[in-house]
Amino acid sequence: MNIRMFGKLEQDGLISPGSMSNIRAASEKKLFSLHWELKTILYLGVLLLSGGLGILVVKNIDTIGHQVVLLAIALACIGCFYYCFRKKLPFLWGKVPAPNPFFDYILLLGCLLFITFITYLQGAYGVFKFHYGTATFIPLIVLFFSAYYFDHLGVLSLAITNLAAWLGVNVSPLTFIEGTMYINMHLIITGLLLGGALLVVDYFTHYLRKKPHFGFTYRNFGMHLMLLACVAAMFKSGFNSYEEDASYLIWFVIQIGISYYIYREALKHHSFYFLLMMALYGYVGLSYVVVRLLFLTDSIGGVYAGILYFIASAIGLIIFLVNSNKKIKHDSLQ
Amino acid sequence: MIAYNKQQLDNRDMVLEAEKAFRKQLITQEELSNIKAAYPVELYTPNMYLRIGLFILTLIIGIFSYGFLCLIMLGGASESVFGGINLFFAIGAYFVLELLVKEKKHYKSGADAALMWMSGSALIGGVLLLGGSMNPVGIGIFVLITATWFFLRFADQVMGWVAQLALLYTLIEILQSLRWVLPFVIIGVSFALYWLLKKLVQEEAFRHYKGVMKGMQALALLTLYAGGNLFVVSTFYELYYFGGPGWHTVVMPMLPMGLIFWVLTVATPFVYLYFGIRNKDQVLIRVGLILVAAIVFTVRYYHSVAPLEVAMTVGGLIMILLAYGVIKYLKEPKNGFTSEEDDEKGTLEALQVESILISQTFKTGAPGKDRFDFGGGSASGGGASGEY
Repeated sequence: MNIRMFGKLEQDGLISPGSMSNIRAASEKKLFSLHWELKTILYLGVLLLSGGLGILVVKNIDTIGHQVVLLAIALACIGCFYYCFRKKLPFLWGKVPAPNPFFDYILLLGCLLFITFITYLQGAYGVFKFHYGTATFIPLIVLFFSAYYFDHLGVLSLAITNLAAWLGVNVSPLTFIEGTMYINMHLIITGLLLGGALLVVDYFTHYLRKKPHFGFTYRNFGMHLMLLACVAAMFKSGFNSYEEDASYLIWFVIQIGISYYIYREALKHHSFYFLLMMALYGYVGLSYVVVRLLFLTDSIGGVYAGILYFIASAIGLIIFLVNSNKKIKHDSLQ
Repeated sequence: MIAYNKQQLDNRDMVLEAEKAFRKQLITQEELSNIKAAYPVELYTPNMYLRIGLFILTLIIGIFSYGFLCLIMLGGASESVFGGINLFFAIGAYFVLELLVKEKKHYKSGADAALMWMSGSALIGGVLLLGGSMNPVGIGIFVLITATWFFLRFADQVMGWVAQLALLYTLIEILQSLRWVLPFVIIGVSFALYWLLKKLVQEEAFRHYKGVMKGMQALALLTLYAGGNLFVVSTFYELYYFGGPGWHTVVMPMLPMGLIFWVLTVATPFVYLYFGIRNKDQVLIRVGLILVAAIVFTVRYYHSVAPLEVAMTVGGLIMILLAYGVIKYLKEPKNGFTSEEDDEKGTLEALQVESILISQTFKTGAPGKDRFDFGGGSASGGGASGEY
């Protein structure tokens, strides 16, 4: 807080002497915050601990015996959940703050340990036999329950990721970029349906006013899944086919429809993030269509037209984004 | 020197301070709007996501314009024609950049950063192509001058960092005959830079560079540490004087005063932390904390104290306990420290990045359908038995 700046404001009569003394008092007892540093250490600690324990278990499985390992994980997991049940604030359908700074991390650790526990059970004893679905379904229930009951956004993301894994889709955008995801039509349709379902859940979250602050997470996953599915389907239509395959046009039309819905939602929630993501996916889709169509011309003029298209379309997109931003309008300078 | 209207920058600082005070409920809504009316800000600084969007799209426009230029001009392709295109493109991008800043009042809008990078790299590329074989010192100095100009003119963080690194690179190239003294030169120069930046931050004349200079302080602290870190120093000698890695056994005994580097490796982060806590300096504390990890990596590289998983588990446990202890200790603020949030609006949490981040880091936490083989499946007992 810059006292001299506010002193000048007071002289100009822009702030009252009362406010000025407020500011003086606040800057005198200004504290140095270690919040960010401590949170980061805590988060990294949880990550390292659960990761280290996981590797430890896998490596020493022969020597320490299953019962001991299972017991240790189960005890730690029960301990975490016991702590959460004891410390939590009463359940509400609105936003419930964490009772203390550790709560969120202990819950996260508990959930991760639970997943390890179930995976271990299946791996070591084959408890669920070949019902692999059940082995992922149980953590799924626990995760969704924890997310809602203790009001934890991180666990909710974990739960949605798990849901996708249960359905056989790995949602993480990184796997897509790395190209490690094997894309087939089944996966694309699953992604599209799951994304649509998540968007519906988001809608009802707001409509029924049940944990409306979870809406962002649902919408985020839903949007990425649906738009990614469309773009992936379009790119796939080009591979391995020598004859002209026009199915990408159908996918493009579907993408336009979804994008329009997300555009409306983004304006409704004043969220520029969704607008930008929608626009970038749309840009990739449109560019793919244009480039495919230009390939049909099969001439040097097509190359020139392509370059000019990219320049003009990027300018157009900038104008669209800047204007939409004005529509959403943040008052703050940040 | 700075391209922006100084009055506007001052107004912006004033309004930002007032908004901060309003969020802490120190001033009223009416006072805030009065201040905003009295200090109008015309600078165009959109939100973070739009900035990212503008950056990407400006890059696309730039790259395709460049491609278009090449396509038209490259009939008789030669190096000098290509260099000429680069220079022309650099000048064009710079012209657009100045226009954006002067006319459209862009200030850290994303588009300006993209133009800066394109203009700078095209200029350097063009000069290299036209100048033929330039020696490394010449390149270093040229990069240093270009980046410094962009830094001073547009108060850009990345350009400031580039200038800093170019300075160190140039020094290494010039002074390579010094050999074993070189690390201490790096340490000395980094320290001098840090000290200078620390002084300049408080100068009224440099107030518009305040945030950027903090970032540069952090880099100066990092390079200072790198100059004394055993791993960095020995790898540097292996690559630079012995022409490749694998000269480990040759370099290590030759490193005179090896003990000094060990001491520097281990002690420097704690010195940072000590002064950071004593002087309540955020940059020192954060860099110090990051470098504690560097100590662990360096020590583990030379002496395998414990297997990785044990180190991870113990380290994780220590970190959790440490954070737990400090938060408990600071429950009531002590000595001017608190574990409560300061005004951090506009940072990660406000953007709800957390939910995106967690899903990314924990993606392997969710087992896929076919991931029950425990990465090798050599487990005794049942294991992944049967057809799997």
